[in-house]
Amino acid sequence: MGKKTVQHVMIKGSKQGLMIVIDDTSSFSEAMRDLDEKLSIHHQHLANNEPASSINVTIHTGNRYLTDEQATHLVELVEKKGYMTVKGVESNVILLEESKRMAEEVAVTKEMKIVRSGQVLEVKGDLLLVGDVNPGGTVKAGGNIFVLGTLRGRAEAGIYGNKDCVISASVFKPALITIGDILCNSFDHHEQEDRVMACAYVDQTNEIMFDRLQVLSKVRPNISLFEEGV
Amino acid sequence: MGEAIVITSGKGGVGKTTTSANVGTALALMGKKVCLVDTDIGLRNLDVVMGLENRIIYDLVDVIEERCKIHQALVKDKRFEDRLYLMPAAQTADKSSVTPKQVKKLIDSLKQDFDYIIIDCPAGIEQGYRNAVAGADKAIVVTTPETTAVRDADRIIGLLEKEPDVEAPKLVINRIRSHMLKQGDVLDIDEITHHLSIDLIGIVVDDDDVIKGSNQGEPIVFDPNNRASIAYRDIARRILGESIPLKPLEETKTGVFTRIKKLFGVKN
Repeated sequence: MGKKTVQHVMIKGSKQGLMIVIDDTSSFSEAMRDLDEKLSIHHQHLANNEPASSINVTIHTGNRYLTDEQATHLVELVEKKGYMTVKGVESNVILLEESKRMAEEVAVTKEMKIVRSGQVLEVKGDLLLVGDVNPGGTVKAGGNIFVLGTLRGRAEAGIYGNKDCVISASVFKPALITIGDILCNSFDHHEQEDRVMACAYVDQTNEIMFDRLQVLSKVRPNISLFEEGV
Repeated sequence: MGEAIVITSGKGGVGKTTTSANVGTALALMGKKVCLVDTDIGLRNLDVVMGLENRIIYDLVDVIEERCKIHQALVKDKRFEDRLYLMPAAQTADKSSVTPKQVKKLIDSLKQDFDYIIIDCPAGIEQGYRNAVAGADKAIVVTTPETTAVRDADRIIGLLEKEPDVEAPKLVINRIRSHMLKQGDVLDIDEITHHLSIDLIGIVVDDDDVIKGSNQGEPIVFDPNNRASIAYRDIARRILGESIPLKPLEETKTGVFTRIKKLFGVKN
């Protein structure tokens, strides 16, 4: 076989450390075979002068999409030699599904309605509700919740675990709120002064804090999605 | 072609049946041809309130199961020549013996012969509610100035808004006790309407004679001077499209003595 084979796999050094680049035009099985070969040579080479600790590598797959199965297979292959640890697998491409989900998670959903008792309004990104949340009603958002109206029901922000989310309402009288996995339902309605134009966020001690709306720009300066657009 | 109005509330005991009987009767008094339909199968009451209990031969379930014709089951109210009828609910069956589709078919055929069909809905949000709402074009939600009733009304309004064939519901606040309202012991009317944010079609004061009338099978609305009766008549007129302002609640019993005091400017 005199034909010069294409380089399926390249191992490069960069500022970030060692990087294994897999050519995105070659077939996966070919690339895997090539990688195995290359690593074995290195292994023999390294056997003579034993490395002090395992080397961190990043795998980059270029414009190739790897299924979860392929990715684990790849990581296994690299790590099985015993002297490399995979820091991460990078790729230039993501699935359309995933990109849609990501877009949804940063989108602001505008709703004009009253969320009545027994109703649940759930959005993936931020929620801007023009209307009330009545007692027994629930609003859930993957991101922040802004209610232009009275919040008397439940509000759950950051339902995928993001504790940096905030909840705000023109009239803030919720029955229960959660931000990320932190819950607060000790709202004593007799003690509670009328919270108008108020917000809730999670502070450093992992507790839900209440404050005036104006404080938000200080505690969560990154919220201003509106200006930047998505 | 008439229109069907469902009277509902979610919570029990707020006065759905009383409101159905009185609003229906008031519409008949105004010359409309009205049919009252009781969909509270198994716990029928509308016939008792109307004083027609002893005249029931067939009922709604008999019609739906085709044991009789519609006109055979309709009970005619003899106080009106030919304007007020009742379709009683069955007492020996339960809510699951009819389906929303069947009720809709029945209501649709009643609409051919009547100006207004008033559907009395059972409490709850299950099968009975779905049956009652199936044929309706409009809805009236009855509540009282109690937090529990308002909560349930809110739930029901949410469900009604999902019904594509039912117009935006209207609100009746029933059993208002003006002395408690004055003292701020109960929710006031503004609070309730703000909270539920639907149009108010009537407020009815709590009056002992309403209960008396229901027990005697004589809806209060026959009495032209009673406050509750006037409120029910106003609701009927608003249904007919007249615009009538809400009557203030303050004027309770203006006895001679109070009127004299007022004349001399003495304040209570």
